[in-house]
Amino acid sequence: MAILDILNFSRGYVSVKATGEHLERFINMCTCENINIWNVKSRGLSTLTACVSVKGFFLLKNICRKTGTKIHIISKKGLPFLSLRLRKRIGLLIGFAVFVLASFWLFSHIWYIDVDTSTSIPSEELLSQLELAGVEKGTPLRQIDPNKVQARLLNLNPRLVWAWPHVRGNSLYLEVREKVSVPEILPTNPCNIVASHSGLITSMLVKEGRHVVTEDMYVSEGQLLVGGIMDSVAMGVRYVHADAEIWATTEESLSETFSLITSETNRTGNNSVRYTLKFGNLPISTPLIGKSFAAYETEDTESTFHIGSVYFPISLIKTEYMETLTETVVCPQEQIEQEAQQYLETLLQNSLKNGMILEKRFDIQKLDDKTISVTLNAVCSRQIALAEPIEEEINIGRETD
Amino acid sequence: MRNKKRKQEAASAYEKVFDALSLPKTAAGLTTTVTITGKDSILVEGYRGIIKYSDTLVLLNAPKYIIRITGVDLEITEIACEYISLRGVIAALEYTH
Repeated sequence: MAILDILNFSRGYVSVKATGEHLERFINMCTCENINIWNVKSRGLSTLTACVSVKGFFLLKNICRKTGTKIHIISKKGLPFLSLRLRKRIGLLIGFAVFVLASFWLFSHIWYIDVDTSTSIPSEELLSQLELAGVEKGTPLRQIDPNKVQARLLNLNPRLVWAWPHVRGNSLYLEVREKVSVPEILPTNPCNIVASHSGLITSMLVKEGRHVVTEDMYVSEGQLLVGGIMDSVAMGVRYVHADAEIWATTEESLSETFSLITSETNRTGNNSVRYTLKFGNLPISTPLIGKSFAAYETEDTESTFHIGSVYFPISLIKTEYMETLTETVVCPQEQIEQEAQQYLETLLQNSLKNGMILEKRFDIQKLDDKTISVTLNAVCSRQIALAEPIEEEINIGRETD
Repeated sequence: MRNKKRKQEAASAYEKVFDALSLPKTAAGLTTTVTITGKDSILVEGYRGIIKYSDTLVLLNAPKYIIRITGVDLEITEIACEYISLRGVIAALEYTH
């Protein structure tokens, strides 16, 4: 019904009042002459109102004469009559034309880009690659060929296995799939397991190879722990890739010197602001509100104008300038000691990987007024298994010893 | 009078042919289709003309009989040669000869 109303409005129609004794005959003749007539309402015994198309109205003359009906126009409605009334208002027409053109232009470009964040590839990287593939804010919709964009993205990023730009209105959503790395192939070359550190073995789990040492034995660095040469009566001599998890208690020591003098950059609390209104790629900035600083940090906050999911190329950027001051300060020795201890402990923990520190002791020595030396002595539990490729002559010799 | 009788005979012959072939009579304009939606909308297809129209009574000419629609605030929303659509509070629909 609404479509019919819109169609009638666009064509224009006349609302009329018909008065006469033979109104039924009038309606019948209208239908016979294919005159478009609707919304017929009775207004008494000899009166009715109806809507008639403009074309049909001019054909009513003959029917009225034959049926003795008088027609009065109540109102003229529709686009043709409206445009006639508004034709002298040039500004309105220009405004309407500008609105239509602007709407057409706005809805035929991409104004919002979103990327798949479920992968390990950062969104910024994908956005920059999408830009290199020819898609950015303001790109006309007709220029976006998903197949070409996909091919370019796959060429630009070797980590991608599939990508597809979904265009929804004037927004674009980039969906990507990351390559799954091939599982690591376990090495098969013959090797022994030797001790990477000196220490007391606490646990041993030998997956492949021949036991050379046992638990509760003290081993020194480089000592053979698991042999890669298997010898048996049934199979004879064969070389294997020895594999084992061997945990031992080791003694570790780390030493470092630290300066008491440091430079600190602090915010003074003095801020200035600048607003930028961005139309597409055209920025219009306000003057700096506040003082200008010699050293400062900036923070940008961008908000894009949108109605629901329809984004427009208009954004407001608030740039905040925060004054900073860099000073050289002599820190208290206790503070540096604490930081140094934490640093050395983290360093040791990182070198242990899955291991752990069982006992620790820090030795602090003041070298001069501005420098201290910190030494960490620790007892740790760590993996000491280290694969060493077999050099046949040497290893046969070592195993036979 | 004779012409009217001939026409009636021809219509009756048509009807017999359509009945024999199991064809829909509405296709030949031998009968009407009345569709009532709720109690405020009625569509009559295959009518031949309006006999009487007021906001409480509508008489429609149909082959073989007259359709009498009574109600309140009856309004013709659409009208064409083949169909007529009415809106209003429909009270009764009767077929009279």
